[in-house]
Amino acid sequence: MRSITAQILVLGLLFYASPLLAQEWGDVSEEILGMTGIPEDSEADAVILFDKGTIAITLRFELVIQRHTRIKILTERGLKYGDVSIYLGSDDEIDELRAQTILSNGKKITLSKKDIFTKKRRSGSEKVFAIPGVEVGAVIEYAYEITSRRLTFLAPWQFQHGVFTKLSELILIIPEGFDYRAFASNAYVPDPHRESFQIADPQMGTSFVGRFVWRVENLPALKREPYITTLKNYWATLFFQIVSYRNPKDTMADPVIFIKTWDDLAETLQKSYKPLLKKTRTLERRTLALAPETQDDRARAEAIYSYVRDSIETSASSGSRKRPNDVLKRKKGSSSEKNMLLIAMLRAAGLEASPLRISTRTNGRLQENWPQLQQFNYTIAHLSIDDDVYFLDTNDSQCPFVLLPPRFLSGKGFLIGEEEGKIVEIPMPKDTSTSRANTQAKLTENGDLVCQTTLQFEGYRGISERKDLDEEKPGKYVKEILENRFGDVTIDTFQIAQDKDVDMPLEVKIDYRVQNYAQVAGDMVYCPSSLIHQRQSNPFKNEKRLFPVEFNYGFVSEEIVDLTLPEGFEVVEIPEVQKVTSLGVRFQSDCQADSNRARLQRTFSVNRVYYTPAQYSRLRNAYAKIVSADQGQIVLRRRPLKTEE
Amino acid sequence: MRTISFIRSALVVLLIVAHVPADADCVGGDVDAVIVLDENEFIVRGKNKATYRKHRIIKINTEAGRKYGQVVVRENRYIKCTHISGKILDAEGKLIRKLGKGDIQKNPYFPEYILYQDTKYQAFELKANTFPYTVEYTYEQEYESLFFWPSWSPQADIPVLQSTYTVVGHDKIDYRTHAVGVTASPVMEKTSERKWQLTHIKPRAREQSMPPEDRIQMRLFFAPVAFKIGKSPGSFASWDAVAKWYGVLADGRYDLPQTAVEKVRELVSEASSDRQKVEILYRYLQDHTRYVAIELGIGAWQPYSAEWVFKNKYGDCKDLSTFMVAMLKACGISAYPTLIGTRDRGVLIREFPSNQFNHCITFVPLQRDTLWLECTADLIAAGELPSADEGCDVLVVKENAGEIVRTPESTSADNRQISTIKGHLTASGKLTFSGQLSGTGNIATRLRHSLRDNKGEDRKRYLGRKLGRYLPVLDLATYEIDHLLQNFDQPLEVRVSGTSGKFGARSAKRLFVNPNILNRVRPGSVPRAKKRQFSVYYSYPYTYIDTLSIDIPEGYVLETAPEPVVITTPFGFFKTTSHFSDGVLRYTRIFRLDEKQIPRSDYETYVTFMKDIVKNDQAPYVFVAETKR
Repeated sequence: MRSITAQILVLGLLFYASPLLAQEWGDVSEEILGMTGIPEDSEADAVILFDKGTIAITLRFELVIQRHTRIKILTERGLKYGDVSIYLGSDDEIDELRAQTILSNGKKITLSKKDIFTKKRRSGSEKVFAIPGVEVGAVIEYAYEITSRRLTFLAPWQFQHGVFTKLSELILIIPEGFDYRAFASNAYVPDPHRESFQIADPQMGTSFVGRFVWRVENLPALKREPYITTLKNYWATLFFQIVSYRNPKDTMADPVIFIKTWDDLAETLQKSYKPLLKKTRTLERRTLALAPETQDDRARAEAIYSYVRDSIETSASSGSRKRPNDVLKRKKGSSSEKNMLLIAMLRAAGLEASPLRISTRTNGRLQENWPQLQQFNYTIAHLSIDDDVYFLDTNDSQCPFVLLPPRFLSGKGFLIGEEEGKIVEIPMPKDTSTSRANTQAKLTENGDLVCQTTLQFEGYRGISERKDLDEEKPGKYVKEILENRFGDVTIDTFQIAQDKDVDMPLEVKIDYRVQNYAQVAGDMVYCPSSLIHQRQSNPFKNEKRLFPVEFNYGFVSEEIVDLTLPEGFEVVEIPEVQKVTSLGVRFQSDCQADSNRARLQRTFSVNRVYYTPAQYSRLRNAYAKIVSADQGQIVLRRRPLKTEE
Repeated sequence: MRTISFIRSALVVLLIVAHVPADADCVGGDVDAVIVLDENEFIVRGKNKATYRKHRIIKINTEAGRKYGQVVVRENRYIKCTHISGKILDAEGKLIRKLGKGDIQKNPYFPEYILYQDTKYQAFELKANTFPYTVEYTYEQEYESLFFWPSWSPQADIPVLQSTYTVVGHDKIDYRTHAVGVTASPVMEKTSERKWQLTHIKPRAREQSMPPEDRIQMRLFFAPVAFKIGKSPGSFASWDAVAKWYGVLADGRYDLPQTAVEKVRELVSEASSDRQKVEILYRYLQDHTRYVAIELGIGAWQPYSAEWVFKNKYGDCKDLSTFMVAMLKACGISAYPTLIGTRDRGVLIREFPSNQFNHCITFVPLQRDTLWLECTADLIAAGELPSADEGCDVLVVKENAGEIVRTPESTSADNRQISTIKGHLTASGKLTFSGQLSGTGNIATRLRHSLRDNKGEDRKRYLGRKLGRYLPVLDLATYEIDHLLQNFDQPLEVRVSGTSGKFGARSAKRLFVNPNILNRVRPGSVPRAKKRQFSVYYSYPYTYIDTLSIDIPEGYVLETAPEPVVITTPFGFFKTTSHFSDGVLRYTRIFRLDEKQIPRSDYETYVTFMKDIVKNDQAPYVFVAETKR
């Protein structure tokens, strides 16, 4: 492998005598070869012995990235680490890709070039290969060098992986005159060790090269847990970027600025948005037709929003960006083109609307101290009317004006206003998902239930129910709601209202019968007290939790059941009132009964969306109490026949 | 010729569009979408050359129908897509938009389990925002081998008004057809052209848990008598011919280098029987190779050599089978690679030699017993087959012939899970328990995979979830596992202990206890349809036996117990017994599914069987506090 020194020499830019990467290819100690496990993780399938990267910047403003990864395979399941994929950007060139297995007896089996395959991706490509000869006990390693022209974007370095990592090391080599910025997230990453070397160049005389080394040792494996948006939010990662270059030999010259601050980025984006948000006659005419000036601002905004959401088809992103006029004409645009059209039209209506760049929830949290546009993967609209702020996306046909689809509730976004750019909060909506069930029911003496239930779904729950309804025939949709709860039911009639008006709650009214709902045994009848909203299992099965619990949004569910009891029976016992109030979880189930009627009122709400691992066991216990409370039974007994006195 | 046929079909289309009534008889009111026309043309240009052209017009009525505007075209080294065009029309038939170059996505996805393959995809979607709308598209593929001859699938999940398949130039070659649910004879026949046609085709019937083979209800298969892939000539004239073709592809690939031969001989040196040798070498294969799928051109059919696998220690099903056969050969045991279409894809059409395979296993005919080896499975004993390989008609590739043989099937006695749990319940609702769980056959394999894939804390969590599925909360204190990663011929044993808070429900005077904590038939799994067209299909038969005893807190007496149940049917058996004495509730539940395929004639019995089980599984035992006098 050519060393980075060689690379720099070839380019004729720098001399640099000291070796940058230790020449340790294939050099594995007896101790490592004989190792059968690691004390830190007794059941590890594999351990990353080291993962070393060197990123060097050349004076041609190119990046040369070298990587050398060595893994010890400990179990059969660990063999999969022998299957390797390396992603490349579209302008990246990969060189010197090699891989080998070192068996425990020291024998080496090397990957042959013809066993390396290239998968084409939509942008860029992927090199894939299976390292030959991998077996339990073997050490595998692979190394490569990538040359990239994307100087302004250095991919974050991920220290932590799915298996235990003994050593992760990143070396950054930058010639004198370059300025960079770096910061770590999610784990303690020490400040880099830094050195400076003097280099003699025949043409340029002496210059300096800085070398920065980040080393992190013994990082535990990261594993996925349910209710996590993305593990990316928890990896120990180093983010960095090149800020500027000033020729050290010519201190009078202006520095080359790569990127500096959010303000700089805002300016860049403002420029690129300018042609897209230009007012045009067509746009203004169309806007005024949709939202005449006689209406108030909110009504006008809603009209424009509904138009773009419903009348412009969402297409796959084509890579290029069409102007709002074209999108309007073609009645078709990618999700971001549609949102830009919305902003343009809102502005044409004289409203204060701007693009808001966000990182969607699964793409990971916004790193505020890493001004880097590559963090963002989506654009929504930010609209201010008087003191109210609205966050809008036009690509979900079921989403009402006042809600933002949950995947975009990313906490923060980068607002590109007409005057300035800034990071703004996207507040987590409260109580925006509501489900209500209201039932009149009659219990027969053989345990069957005859019911009329009215269900209402609002907010996020309304969106998801409408989606289900869209996917199915209405009859099947209704059937599934009940069958998921009761199994076999007979539906007599049903009505669905307000399914088309996404700003109103979806309403479903059903008349149905459930056989054998209550357990009948001799003179006794046991009837479950909760009906539709019964929680049958605890979503938090695991005893311990490593990462926070993240919900998409809070919710409220309310249920009332009015139950007429069979003639000739008396109530022997009803469930006690159950209350759970813990960390944003509120639950109450209250059953009342008189001689021939019972009434159950149940409310359950969660208004927090984030629980730390320390709060996990309280959350889990709260759910356990609710599951248990929902198993409550109303106990009935046949009245003894009255005998003549 | 081509132009003429195109104009003609365009006219037909116009007529159809103009005359299709909104509710044509098979359309039956509100459908999400209708395939107005589905035209397929296969133009044979030579022994190994053909052009396939597909043309469809689909009317889309609802949001749920949109997906029918999504199209994926597959390509590989021998199939190239040469043309794609499409357009969207509004309800009045006016053009909304044509498909642009930028709308076609290349390689939108790669299957997860395959590391590399040369199959590529082009995908596009035609859609509009206001319903109804009509999409129309055409694509053409050039075939360089008739091995891949596409079959005719006139049926879809939505009604099809008209579907045609035309073979042009059929006089150029010999080929055979096999019809499933359609008449094999063409509606039009000329010297060089044959055409099949169906109109007003009902949507494919779909039922939950239907047998895989019944998913194909209408299909016309084509197979050339002779074909060539790359430079390899082959024949579908008979199964012998298919076996010979594979035999030639794998010829010379069973030789191991001397070091490997010595290794094999050393491994089996102490074995006392051929069977033992097979077991030792199978275990060696499981321990020293890994499954990696790299599927390339003819390589999707041609295995890597045994020597290559020995060196690289990985391969796909046919590579690993080649290596297995070679190792057995090195110690004098005859074994054969065997082509199989896995059970999840249906059953082999015996009378139609053709490419019906997607997998390869190894067949070892020993003197006393015959062994089947699934070389990609690493957690089963030699001779056991995973459920996907069970009961399949397979093609054993012998030296100069092929033999169709059926693989064995496991029984409900082979696939068994037995649990025994003892618990102590306090008045506050806390259950302390200990017990054990053992599994055999396919049940053990599934459990072994889950336990192996979850380690340390994750394994504990997995077991906690498995045991606590129906409980509000369960905390596992200890667990021990035997025979997890070895002794696959022995039952997998798991011993556990722990606690469950909030066990059962309580009111002021009563305790409601459901002792069936491990296996419940949920109400949702009772089939809902009143009528059934196909049999009910399970992957394998099985038995669950659960025994539980719980100390009930002092001062409570049994008020109500669910009736004990015994149900015997031709396909399964269910029984619960319980007994309460000395403050201990003893409960046993046996569930046995003896037949993996329950015939339609037993459907009603099956539904009642499941309903009765649900009722019994749901019902709690009710204990009431003794009233103090």
